[in-house]
Amino acid sequence: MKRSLLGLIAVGVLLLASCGDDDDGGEDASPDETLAPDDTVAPVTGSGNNVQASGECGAGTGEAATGEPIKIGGMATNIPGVDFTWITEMTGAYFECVNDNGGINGRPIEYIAEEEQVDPQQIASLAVKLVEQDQVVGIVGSTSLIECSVNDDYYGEQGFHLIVAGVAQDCFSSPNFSAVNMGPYYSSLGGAQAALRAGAEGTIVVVSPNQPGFDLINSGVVEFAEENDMEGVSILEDVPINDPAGLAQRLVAEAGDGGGVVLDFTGPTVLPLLQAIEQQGLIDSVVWASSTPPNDPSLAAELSDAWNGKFLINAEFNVLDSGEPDQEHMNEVLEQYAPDVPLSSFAQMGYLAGRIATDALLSIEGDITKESVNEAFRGVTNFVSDILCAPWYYDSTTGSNVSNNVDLTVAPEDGNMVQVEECFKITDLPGNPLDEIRAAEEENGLNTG
Amino acid sequence: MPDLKPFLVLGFALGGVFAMSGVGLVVLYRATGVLNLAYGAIGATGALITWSLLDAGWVPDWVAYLACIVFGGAATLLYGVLFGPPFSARDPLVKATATLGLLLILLGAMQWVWGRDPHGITLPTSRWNYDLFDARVSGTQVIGVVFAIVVTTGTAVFLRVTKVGTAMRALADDREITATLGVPVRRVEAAAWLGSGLVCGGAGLLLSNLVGLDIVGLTFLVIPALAAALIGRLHSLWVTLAAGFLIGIVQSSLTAFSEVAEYRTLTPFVLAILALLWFATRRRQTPAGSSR
Amino acid sequence: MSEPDVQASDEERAPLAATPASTLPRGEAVPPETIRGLRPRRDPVRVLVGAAALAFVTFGLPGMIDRFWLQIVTSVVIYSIVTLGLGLLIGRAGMVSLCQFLLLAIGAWVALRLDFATSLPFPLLVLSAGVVTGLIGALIGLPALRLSGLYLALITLMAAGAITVVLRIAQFPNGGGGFFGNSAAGGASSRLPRPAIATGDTAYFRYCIAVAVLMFLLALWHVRGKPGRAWAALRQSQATAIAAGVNVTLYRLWAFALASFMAGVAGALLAAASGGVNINQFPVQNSILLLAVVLMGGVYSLGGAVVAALLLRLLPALLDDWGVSTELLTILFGVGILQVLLTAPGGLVDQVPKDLANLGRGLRRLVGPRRAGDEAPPP
Repeated sequence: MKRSLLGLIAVGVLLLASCGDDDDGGEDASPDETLAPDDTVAPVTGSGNNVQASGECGAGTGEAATGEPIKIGGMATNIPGVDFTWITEMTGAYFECVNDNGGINGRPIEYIAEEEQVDPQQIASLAVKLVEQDQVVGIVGSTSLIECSVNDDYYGEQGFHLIVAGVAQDCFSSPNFSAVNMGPYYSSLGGAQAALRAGAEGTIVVVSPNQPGFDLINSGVVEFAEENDMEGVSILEDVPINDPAGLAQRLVAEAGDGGGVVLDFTGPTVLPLLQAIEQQGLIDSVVWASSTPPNDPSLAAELSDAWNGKFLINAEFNVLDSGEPDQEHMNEVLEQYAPDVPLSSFAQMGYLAGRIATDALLSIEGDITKESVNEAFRGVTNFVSDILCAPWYYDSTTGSNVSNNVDLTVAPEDGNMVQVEECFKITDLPGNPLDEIRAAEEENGLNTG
Repeated sequence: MPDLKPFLVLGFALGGVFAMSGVGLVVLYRATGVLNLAYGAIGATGALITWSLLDAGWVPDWVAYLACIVFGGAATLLYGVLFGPPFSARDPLVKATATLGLLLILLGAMQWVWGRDPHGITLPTSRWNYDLFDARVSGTQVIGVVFAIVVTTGTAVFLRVTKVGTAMRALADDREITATLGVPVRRVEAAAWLGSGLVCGGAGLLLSNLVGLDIVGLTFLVIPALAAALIGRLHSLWVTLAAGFLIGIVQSSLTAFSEVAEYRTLTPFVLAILALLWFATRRRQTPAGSSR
Repeated sequence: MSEPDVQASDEERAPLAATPASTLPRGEAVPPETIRGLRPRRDPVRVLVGAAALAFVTFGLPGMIDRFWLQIVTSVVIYSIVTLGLGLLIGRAGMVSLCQFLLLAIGAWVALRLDFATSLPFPLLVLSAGVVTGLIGALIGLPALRLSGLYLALITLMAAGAITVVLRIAQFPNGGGGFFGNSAAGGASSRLPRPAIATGDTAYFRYCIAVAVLMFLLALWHVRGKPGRAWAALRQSQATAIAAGVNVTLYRLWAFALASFMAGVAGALLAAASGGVNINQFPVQNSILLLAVVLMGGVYSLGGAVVAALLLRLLPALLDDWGVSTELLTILFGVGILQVLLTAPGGLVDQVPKDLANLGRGLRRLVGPRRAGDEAPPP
């Protein structure tokens, strides 16, 4: 998965040059012109003291840290069809880079990353292991299908505030978690918004892995369809997808001609489905959209030209070849410390989690203890990065944290993922707390930059 | 009434592969009394070996595809040669349970070696597409159907016409007497293991393309094949063939009906249970001394 | 065998024990009961040692290990109930079932559903889960009882697969309404509240041990009583048993129901263990792994059930802790099945003491003067 940095910068420059045109009919989804989002938000670019210079991380001293390690924990789901370990690996990679650059006031970070198989007993035990056996002072980068539901009470008891990449809705409705991403509920919703703008009509189908909690995740798209006088259909499918051609036919049959289909699978899982859709000749039958995980250049490379502009992926973060400083920095860290992790939105999540945590750790003035670390995490506000559409903060003060609620749309184009819509707000619905959260953001100045 | 045509086409192809695997299971059972529950696992391992060869690029593609079939034959033959004789006088339940041991060994090995990342094989035949009755058919699907019929016919002819085939049928009827007649029992059994294994490898390669190269999924695709074999009473090749197609078509067609679509994977289980219940209610006299 | 052998052959009654005489080691672990109920005297020392070990585990162990390992050990206790049932089924009644793991899931499901729908106290929930699961198990086994061992095993395999599919659709109850009791807004894992006397981890561990001891006593009562004798008769020869007036169908069904009852009880306990349950804990291959560990632990001895549970739950956690890949365990269990079926039907519980005795004899011969009884046992 190594990409030549030079090549990336070249592509980035070319794209920046053509950036102004990305809203018109050039790379359209079928059948109509892509309508411009009406809730656009001007993206923030890397600025101030959040920009990391090339080759540096954290304090940027260039010297290896040698003090007593600071233990940080993390947990990721890894089962066939759902592999979130890219995220914890990327967070670990960032921490390694920090350790090579002076650590946290001279102390290296020891990142203990566990893998789980969606077994609640195992997940509960691993949390106990991290907190009581390994005695971590903070937990960063966790990404799990069910951990937020299983361990919420325990973390509350123990006083932990986790910086996670959220999946289940439980990660977004508890003050103990704050996610750097928006999770499949909001991301699929963003995909549905893009599909609607691209001309989907009649029915919107949303399909997710058949795992607990995904019924709720699909409900956002269903509600959105109904709010827009369309029919919403929710389908749950076992992963790995063992009958991609059959599923492709089924999705098209349910959506009807000209309908919209929002896919909600990880990149490696969705690829056989995309290939089956192409093989069955169904690309132009409906408007195809997706939540964020397929935003991965290696996936774009596997798709043929028939998919150009026809797969609207909600990107929770900026494009991977934006050429902007933070994104470039991430690409460097990835190449140097985690070359096995594909350049993808998952890598962006892991990177951001590591960055935010490091900044918070560096800001602690007294001793590094469980209390001071989690207090620091909770106190993060106005974290600016060009990877994000809007600044990030931990605590929305409403009890539900959905700090990444503005994002953009990308689509494959000749083997790459390119931006096709500007940053827009994910729509609030009666079923989600975004309007309260946005009110609280404004009132408390949480993400003004 | 939703449009069933594309689902029928998909189901027919899938059913063909189930039928092919089912026939392989039946032949082996008839000749040796072993119901090889590791059938899917062997096919899956072969497919993963093919994937690795394709990925590494050391050999031409056709050699990699052939490797799956060869592995299927070799692995099954090896198991048969090593574990056939010690279990030969034991009950079929014990023989089948022993193949579960093989299943676990292969499953663990596959997950250890290849478990980390997802894999996919696209056979060149999948890129040949034809439009048939408003549905799109890929070359691989056509092969699935054609091979099923060819394998079944070939096996039936083989069993009836050749010496080895006749010896296999004799073994199935009565092992003891066949041995005393001077038939080289071990060699005939080895031939059955090898033949069954080659079919297994072929089925694994086709399934990995039609269904996906998922370790656990492919391993347990032995169940629809088993269901087809059970409907064929573990004896009749033609009924097994028909049953395989039936399972594939029914399962695939149910996808079209949204109310029951999520229950469609129950098809092979339900059909197999019905077949077994049917046997229970029809008492059959066993041939004398046929306990093996 | 060209047709399904409906009239099960004699060997099928005791598949593991019926090896050709030339490969059967003498002194092999054939179950001690005979048709007349004779059995060797219980060695009082062994009983005392067992009781002491149990006391240590119950009272001493929790203080010595941390919460993480306590949760693991609790699950060992719970799973030993399942392995006990399956061991009885295979070793005493001579039947192989491949759906026990899914019956565990059904037990958990029933307990959860009842808890959300009624306010039954915990022991009653556990009992009800066991009874319902026992009935379902009997239902699965009923039509297959006329078929021979292989077809019974296949029906249970098919039932296991079917239950898996239905479970994925129904999910576990989490407080929602309707028959399935699962709502989208509920949590992703379903937890059964623990009994008031055992809310803490240590207390719940001891509670589970108490239930497990009850199950073992139940098993012992069966084995030493009329059912045990009937099963032994069935194993020897079905024709003789029928001639002796044993109700073959009833006792085979009873064995199935008992094993399912135990799985149901364990399922209810599992639902209240830490973290709760969800469908990912019950993949199809776990049923096969369960069979493997039960065979390896030893189906002819009740202690084998504990060994089996240790293999299934403790060993993976240990390997994980040491950084060894747990897939190797799957391979090990596969080898274990083959080994047990080929050479050591009694499993580890039987084989290890023999191996140790052999080792002891070997060492003594190396070191000291020859003693009576030092001769190696005949192969």
